[in-house]
Amino acid sequence: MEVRSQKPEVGKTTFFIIYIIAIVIMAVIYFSAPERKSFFEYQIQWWTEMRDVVADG
Amino acid sequence: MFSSWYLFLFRKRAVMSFCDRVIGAFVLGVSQIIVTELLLGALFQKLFAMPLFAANVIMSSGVLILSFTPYRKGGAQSTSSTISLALKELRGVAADFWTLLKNDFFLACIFCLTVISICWMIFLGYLFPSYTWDALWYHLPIVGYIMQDGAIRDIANHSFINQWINMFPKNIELLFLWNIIFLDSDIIVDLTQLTFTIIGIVSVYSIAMKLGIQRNYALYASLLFFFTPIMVLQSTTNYVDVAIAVLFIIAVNFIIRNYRKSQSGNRAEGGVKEQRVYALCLAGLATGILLGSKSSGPLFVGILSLVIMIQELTARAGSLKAVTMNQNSVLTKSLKLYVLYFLVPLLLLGSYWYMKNWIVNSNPVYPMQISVFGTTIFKGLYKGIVEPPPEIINRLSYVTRPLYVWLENIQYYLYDSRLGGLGPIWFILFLPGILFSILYSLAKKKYDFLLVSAIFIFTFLLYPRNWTPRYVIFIVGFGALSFAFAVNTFGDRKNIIKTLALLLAVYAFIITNSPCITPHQIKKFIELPPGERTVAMQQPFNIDLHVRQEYGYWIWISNHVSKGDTLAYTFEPLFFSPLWNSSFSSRIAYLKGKSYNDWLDGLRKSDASYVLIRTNSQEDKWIKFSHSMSWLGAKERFNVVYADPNYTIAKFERAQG
Repeated sequence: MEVRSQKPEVGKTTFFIIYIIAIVIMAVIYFSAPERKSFFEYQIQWWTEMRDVVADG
Repeated sequence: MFSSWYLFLFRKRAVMSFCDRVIGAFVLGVSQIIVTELLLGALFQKLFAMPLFAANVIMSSGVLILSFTPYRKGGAQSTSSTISLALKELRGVAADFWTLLKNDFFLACIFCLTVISICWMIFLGYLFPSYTWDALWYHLPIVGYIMQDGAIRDIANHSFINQWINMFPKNIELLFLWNIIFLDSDIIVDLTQLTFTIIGIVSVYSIAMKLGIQRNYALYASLLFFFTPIMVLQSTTNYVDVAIAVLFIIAVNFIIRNYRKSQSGNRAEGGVKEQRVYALCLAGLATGILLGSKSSGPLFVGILSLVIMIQELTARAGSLKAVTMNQNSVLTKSLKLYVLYFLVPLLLLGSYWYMKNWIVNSNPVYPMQISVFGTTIFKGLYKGIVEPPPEIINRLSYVTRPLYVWLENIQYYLYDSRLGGLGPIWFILFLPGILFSILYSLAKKKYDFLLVSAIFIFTFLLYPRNWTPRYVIFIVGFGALSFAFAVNTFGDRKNIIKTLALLLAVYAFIITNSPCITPHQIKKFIELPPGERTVAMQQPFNIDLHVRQEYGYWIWISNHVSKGDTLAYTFEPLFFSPLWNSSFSSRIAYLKGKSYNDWLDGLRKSDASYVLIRTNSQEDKWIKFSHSMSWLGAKERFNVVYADPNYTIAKFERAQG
């Protein structure tokens, strides 16, 4: 009985670990896309401009 | 004005959840706007502020009276008690919501980010004019033509875009018109889609709740759906893609049954039927608005109709197994329910534009040609989407195209990005969530979730150019639901996912910037007086290269052309929208004469106040000629009021008497 009640929990834990691994893999793929560097550069430029505008009042 | 619809639906609180009533009131309010504008514009040709206001006040008053009319024996309630009950319910919902946020730090942070984002979007929408390509090209000109004519009718077909303006379904443009006509200004028109975005959040939440997902995870799903970059950027533009996606999600929300409630099994059959009838009506209205908003509407109609028929047939066949029943009878009853409660409202809201095209051009989607398996059903001028896809897309297969776009190989986001825009949350959190949820629900026979999955996935697969992010924003809604469904099954190990969700929400919040609105432009526009915050002053990145030469006369028009003035133009401009003043209270007319006298005659007939001409054009020569003839006593005079190396605007003055 105990083994049977623990089974779904084990399954969920396995699924959870697989899901987290999948998320990590997807994150690595996403953030290593070829254009990501220029994307970040643009964002840094946008926020630097924002900082300058706020600093200028 | 539209709170009457909420009070009307409040009577149905026994069969409709709070969220369904909020979404339903929104759908009914939008439907009311569209129906009154269609009646006044297409039928009576009196689509002006006063008649529109009066029609809506009358309609809302009728609904309000209906809301307080007793509808069952012993069911009478006083007006004040209904309102106080509604307010009490609102207070209860707010208190529950507050408790939910208090107990979940990550959720509270994501909610705060959402509120900050929405406030920022309202600020930007207020500060900047409509600057987007399609808005200036046809969405706002549609509004301009309707407002200057006070009627919804086809316009003269003298330019490439005009044939599309005549053909496009215009329900969302009618909402744009609603946001201009009473204020006599276009200041909030670019925030129209934001209301759809907010209702989209509620709709995703509502579907998640119906699927039996815990409240806090339903809320995670709906708030994460909001952080879709293309949705955030488009919410402050006069496009229709967010509205389309949200209307589809709304329709799905009403079509799927409320599994959570029906599982309790203690509701009377009458209540279930009443719930289904209301749900189908609201789904029909939402799908009708969608059908009348974009030419891809029929695809959504086909899929949703199929789902309803399958649902009805299986439900009836299942519940009447014990009883001997004629198969035809099952089919007839299902068809009756579908036609009466879904198809009729749908056709009421969405069919007008297609019928008009069918009558005028013998093709409901003219100028598109419709062919099935090589057989032409409706003749048209174009066989597919006119705009060519990016080069990289042509080199990819059907399967790899969306994957490439979801990876977002772009340098920045735009409101109409073609190679990105669904954002990091979609790719990192939602895609694995979809895979996991489908596998899990297949294993556990969770048919309710599988049905929702099938609706969204088939619609996505059948949608033309489904790699284009803005066409398929609805799939992110499904991703959000899948994510919540997955998290809901994990038991007590969710903090890591909540942390990831918050991190990605913060990341999406930071990176959803577009080069069309830069910090310098924001500063410049804050310092400008409201009247000068025009697209020519903004010089937005997306159109700047194409229209730099036009800014001068755009500024002159916005500063000088008044209500009732007619601007006659003599060439085909790239964008028509800036030819009207900012309240769309002036008129424009295309006048190209065969001769000077013919042209003059046209100017007189159209009651032209100004003429806009290209330098060295035939009309330019005529104007110079008329100057030299003025000493001979010519009756008409052209006083040049604006001139640059490319364009001239002259005031057209006619002799009295």
